[in-house]
Amino acid sequence: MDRPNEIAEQKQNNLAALQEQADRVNAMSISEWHALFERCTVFLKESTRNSQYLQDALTAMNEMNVTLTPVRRQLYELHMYFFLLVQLTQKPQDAPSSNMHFIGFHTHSAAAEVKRVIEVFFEKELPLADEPECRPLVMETLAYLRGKMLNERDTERYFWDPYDRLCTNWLKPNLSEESFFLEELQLLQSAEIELGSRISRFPWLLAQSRMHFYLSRDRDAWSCLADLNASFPISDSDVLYFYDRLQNDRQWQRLAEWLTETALLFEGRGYHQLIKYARCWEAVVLQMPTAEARMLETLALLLPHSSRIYEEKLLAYNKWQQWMDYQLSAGSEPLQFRAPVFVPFEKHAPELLLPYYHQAVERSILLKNRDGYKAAVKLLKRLARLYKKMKRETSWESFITELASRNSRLRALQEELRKGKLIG
Amino acid sequence: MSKHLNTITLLTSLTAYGDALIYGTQEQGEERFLNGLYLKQRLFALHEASLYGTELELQQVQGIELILLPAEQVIPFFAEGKRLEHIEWIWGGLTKIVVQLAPKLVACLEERLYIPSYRAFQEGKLQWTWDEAALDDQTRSVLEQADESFKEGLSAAFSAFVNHRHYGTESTAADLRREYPLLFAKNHPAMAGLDQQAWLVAVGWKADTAPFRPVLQLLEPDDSESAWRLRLVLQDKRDQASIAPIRLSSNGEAFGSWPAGWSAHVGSRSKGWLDRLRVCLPEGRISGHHEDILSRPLSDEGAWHFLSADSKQLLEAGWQVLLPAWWETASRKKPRLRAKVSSETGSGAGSSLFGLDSLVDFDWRVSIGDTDLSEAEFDELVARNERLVRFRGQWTLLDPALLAQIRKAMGGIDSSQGLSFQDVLQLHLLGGGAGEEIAEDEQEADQETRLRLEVELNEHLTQLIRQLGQQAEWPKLDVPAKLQAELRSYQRDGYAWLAFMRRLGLGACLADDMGLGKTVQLIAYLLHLQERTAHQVEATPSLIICPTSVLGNWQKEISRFAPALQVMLHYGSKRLGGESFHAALKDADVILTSYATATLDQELLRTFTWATISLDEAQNIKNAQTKQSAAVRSFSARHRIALTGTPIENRLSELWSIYDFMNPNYLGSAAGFTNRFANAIEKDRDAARTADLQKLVKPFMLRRKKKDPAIQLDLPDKNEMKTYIHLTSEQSALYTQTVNQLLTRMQSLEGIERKGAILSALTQLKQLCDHPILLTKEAVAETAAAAEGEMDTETLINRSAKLERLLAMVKELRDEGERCLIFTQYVGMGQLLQCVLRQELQEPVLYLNGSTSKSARDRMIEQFQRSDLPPDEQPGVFILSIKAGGVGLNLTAANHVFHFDRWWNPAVENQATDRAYRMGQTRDVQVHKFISLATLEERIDEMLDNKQQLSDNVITSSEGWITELSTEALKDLFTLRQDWSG
Repeated sequence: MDRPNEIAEQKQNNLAALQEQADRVNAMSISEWHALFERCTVFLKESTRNSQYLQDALTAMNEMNVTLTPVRRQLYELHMYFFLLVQLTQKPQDAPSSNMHFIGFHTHSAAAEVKRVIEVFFEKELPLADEPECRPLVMETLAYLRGKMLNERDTERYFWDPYDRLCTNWLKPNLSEESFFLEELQLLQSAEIELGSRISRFPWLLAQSRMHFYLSRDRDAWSCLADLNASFPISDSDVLYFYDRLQNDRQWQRLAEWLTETALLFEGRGYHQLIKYARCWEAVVLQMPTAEARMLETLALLLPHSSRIYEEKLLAYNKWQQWMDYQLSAGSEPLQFRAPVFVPFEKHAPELLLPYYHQAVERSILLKNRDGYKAAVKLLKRLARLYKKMKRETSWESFITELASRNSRLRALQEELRKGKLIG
Repeated sequence: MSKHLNTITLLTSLTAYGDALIYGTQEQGEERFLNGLYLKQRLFALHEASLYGTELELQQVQGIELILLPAEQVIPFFAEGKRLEHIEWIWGGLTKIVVQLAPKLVACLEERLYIPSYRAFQEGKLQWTWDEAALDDQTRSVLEQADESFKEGLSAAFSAFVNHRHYGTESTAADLRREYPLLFAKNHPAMAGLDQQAWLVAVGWKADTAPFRPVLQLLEPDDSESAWRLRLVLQDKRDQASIAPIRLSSNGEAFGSWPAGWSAHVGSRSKGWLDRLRVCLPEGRISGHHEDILSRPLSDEGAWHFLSADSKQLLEAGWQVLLPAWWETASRKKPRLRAKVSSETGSGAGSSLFGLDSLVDFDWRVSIGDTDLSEAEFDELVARNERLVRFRGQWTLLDPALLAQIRKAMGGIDSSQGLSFQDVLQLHLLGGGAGEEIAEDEQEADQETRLRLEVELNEHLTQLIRQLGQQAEWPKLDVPAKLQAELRSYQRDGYAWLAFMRRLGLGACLADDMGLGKTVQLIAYLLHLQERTAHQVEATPSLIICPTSVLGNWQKEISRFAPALQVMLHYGSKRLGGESFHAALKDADVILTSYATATLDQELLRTFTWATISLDEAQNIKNAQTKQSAAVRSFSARHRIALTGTPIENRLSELWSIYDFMNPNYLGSAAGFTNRFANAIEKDRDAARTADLQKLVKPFMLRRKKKDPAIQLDLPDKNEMKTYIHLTSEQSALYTQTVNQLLTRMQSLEGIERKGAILSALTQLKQLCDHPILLTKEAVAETAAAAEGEMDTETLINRSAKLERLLAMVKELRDEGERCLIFTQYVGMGQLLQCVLRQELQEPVLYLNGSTSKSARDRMIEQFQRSDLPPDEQPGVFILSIKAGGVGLNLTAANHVFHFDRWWNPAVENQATDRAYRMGQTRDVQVHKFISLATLEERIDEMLDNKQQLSDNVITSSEGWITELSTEALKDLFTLRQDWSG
């Protein structure tokens, strides 16, 4: 058996037939392109889906000499990759009809590679204005992607991104009319009727939120996002997208509303995600100082995960009282902060420090060990200074006398107090 | 999603005492109880009253930690609502009710809408409760939800809160007691049988709603009624002048006429009035007719009782009482007893001695209010033995206790005998305060009824006493013609004052500063005395007692200033005694003696009544118990004068002794004086007593200081005084011995040997005048040895009169804070002085002589001139050898210069003096030159003064000229004059 020869020969024949078809490629629809790709790679059908497959498939497809206008070529090549993505990620026909579909590592990395390339495609502009006749092709592409995207399983998310990029990078700059987004929104919504429960809800909702957003129907966008958040782990970048757009468009008021309404989406997220969210707020407050209170409110709502950011913001915006309220509620230790933190307090609101220090002293003494007493004395010295600053020396005197006499049996404490020159 | 870090459900229960027990749970999967400390620090984080929770205690009950919030903090805490925002608080159970009610209750408190609890009062406690009427419906309905024990706890918490907030301090609690005494009246009669509302009205917490109030009125006898009567009247609250008399029957019904609107109120209250009157008035007062229980008339005695006792009790029980208008003023009027000095007294005094013991005619006057009563009128009033007396148309109160006191006071001083001038003077000087003296039993005498004895002076005495106090009013007196001195104006004043005091028979104390010339003032006075008594046959001489060390000085000064005065020195072993003393007195004007001699010869001297006794350095009798003091005070005299330079007014025992000498008994007994003044002034620093004493003392003391501007005008910048001093017997003996030895040797010596012998004798004699120790050498070693420890300074001082005198003068000036220089030629003397002064003064004494190094010398000078050293380090005395310290030093800190021994050359002395008297000196400089009487020192001094035999250039050169004198001249120069060989 000379199988390699056979294959080569088959390939040769095939190529000839293909070339014939390829010559008509300019007149083909999207689905015809895909059929062409299919035939072109038919000899690889049984191959294991990996990067080798990818290489072979691409080589095979590129062997066809197609002559296309620039826009058409851009789309044609993009669809090659869409085709490959489908090939790589599609459940084999013979696979058991289970919802679980496992993609092997090599297949997955090949798919990732394809996705990367697709991303690069979308980085380029699509000069649709030069070739308005290509518009149906673009719309077909959109429909293709929408279809793929909405038919994906919940665990898969290969086509949302291309869909999103197509809309954002190519369509939105080219199609400024609202009618397009409205139409797309209707198509999305009607897809639910068609697909029923099989519809992939994540991209479906996210896509709708985008459309609402473009149509400035923020409230609808938020409700889509809220629905989404209720059932899926939403990625921060999906949300940050909206913020970035608004920031770019300098729509501060709207951004503030978005940040307020979508704060919930950041609940329970880590510092690195929250800090992005917080930075958006900062940008808003920089432009609209009145939004300061709302920022702090929303950050407070994200507690306790936002605690670090929240505390920082309270200090940065001189919210001494709230900061202290937070520390007291959390029961934090004053000595864990570096002393300069308290300098503005001493200057602006020394009385706020009193409960903080007094309570910490109480806790330290209750430890009933030398380290605790040392810490207590350190804090008592600060208290002494505070009382003096507030010209309430008599209150201080009676407090320290009372404290010393109440704890007269803690000899080590007495010793530390004397060492600290707090008592005679 | 919320800003809260935690959600805490709070549960509270209240104890019967109002304390809150708080615990909390948090929902975390399952409900769990919170750690007590955790909850406490969060719940009370902003609660300042509990110091942010750190002062609250935790209690363990059945494994749960409870926070104990003290009752007084419960309501304000829950009302305040200051809580951490980052924690969600849920009010569980009763906490919710407390949180709802607390602000309302705080409002009750702020608006004072709270009342004392009658129930608690009945149990003998004071508790507060909110006024139900002040709460709104919602609050009331919330309250109703709660169970009884919760309500009890809440009300206890409220009570504690009210107490803490409004009556928490001593002063506010006292205010409450004062404003509402009945709240604290246990088993008070006025509180009997009341309901809550009536009780609140009765204690004064709530106003009575009736438009009138019942008032009890006392009516005084008038034309229609001859007796005192009581009646009940209703007084209109809006118009206090409008009153409606009513009658109260024995069954509690009221009759009379009142505005129609009042009837209902009268009807409901009249029974209560009767009950309360029964309780408040003494038995028997309510009786009379059964239709008018107050109808029985009162006697004067009964009226007095009602005025003074019953009315007070009624007022306490909350009744208003109307008393006659005069009562208030009458009860404030206290009788006063006055001694009115008869108009003739004292006016005829003229030249005769008046004296503190002389009696002043007077009449008693008792005044009550504006009314003056003579003794007879007073007696008549007292005889009536009534408390309430109508006198000259006015009702007058007579308090028997007070009357008895007046009688006693009047009895104590027989008006036929009269008051002594001393009493009158003291009464006048001290104003009303003198009453204390009469009423010796101070403790017994009730503060309110203490009798005030006053004195009313006649014109003459008024004038006289004014004169005593006013220097400008002292009669001027011419200086005696025979006085050989020019008196400065203040000295003339002092002399005139002494004479004036003599005319009044008042002892006097001349206490001018050292150097102002007390001696010359006394001499002028003695001379004046001599002039006035020249024609009298039986004139006795005056006696001057002074320290031994100044005897010579006195003699010298008298002979210098008043040669006309015949002085007799009563001193030494050869003094006269018995008959010969008597005989000698006839020729003498002045007897001069020492304290010691006066003590020895007490029996002799006591037999005379001296024209004057003068004590120089009168502080010598400061210890009243000493024999010396007693002896001196036992002498009788027509006038007594004390001279002293020390400020005695600050040393009370000294003051008393001197005054007791001058004016016996004027300041009372020593023990009495200690009780009355010394203790109060020295221990308690009683300013009033100090002022009293000053008032008593001032008229008898004339004290002028050098610093007085008026005196300064009169003083020269540099005042040179010679201080004459006699030799002690030891000194005399040695002196004579030395002179005799010299004279013996003169016969055999010639030339240079003779000169040498003379010079050596000269030195010996001069040293002898300083101190015999310098000659006997025995002591130099002893002094050196003793310098470290205590030495027997007493003996050392007694051996030299110069040393004794110097010490006295230095002590005096150091007391005034002044500093001095002492110059001496002899190193031994300098050392001796240093030792003695250091020990006696207890302060550093500097000594600069030829062997002092330059640096030590500079240090001494710097030290002496400083003024910022602590008292025990600051030297005030600087001894200098005249050669080492005579030139170039600047010691202006001193303003006294002593020349302990004489230098032949006045220029050298002056140069030494100029150490202090030079640029930079701000005060007058006193120069004291010590001269031993009867010795060559005196002789040389005379020569220097007279410049008879010596020309300036002779004496300025050296002592060489003496060696050129003939033996006869030497003998004349050296020999001790015999009158001093005591």
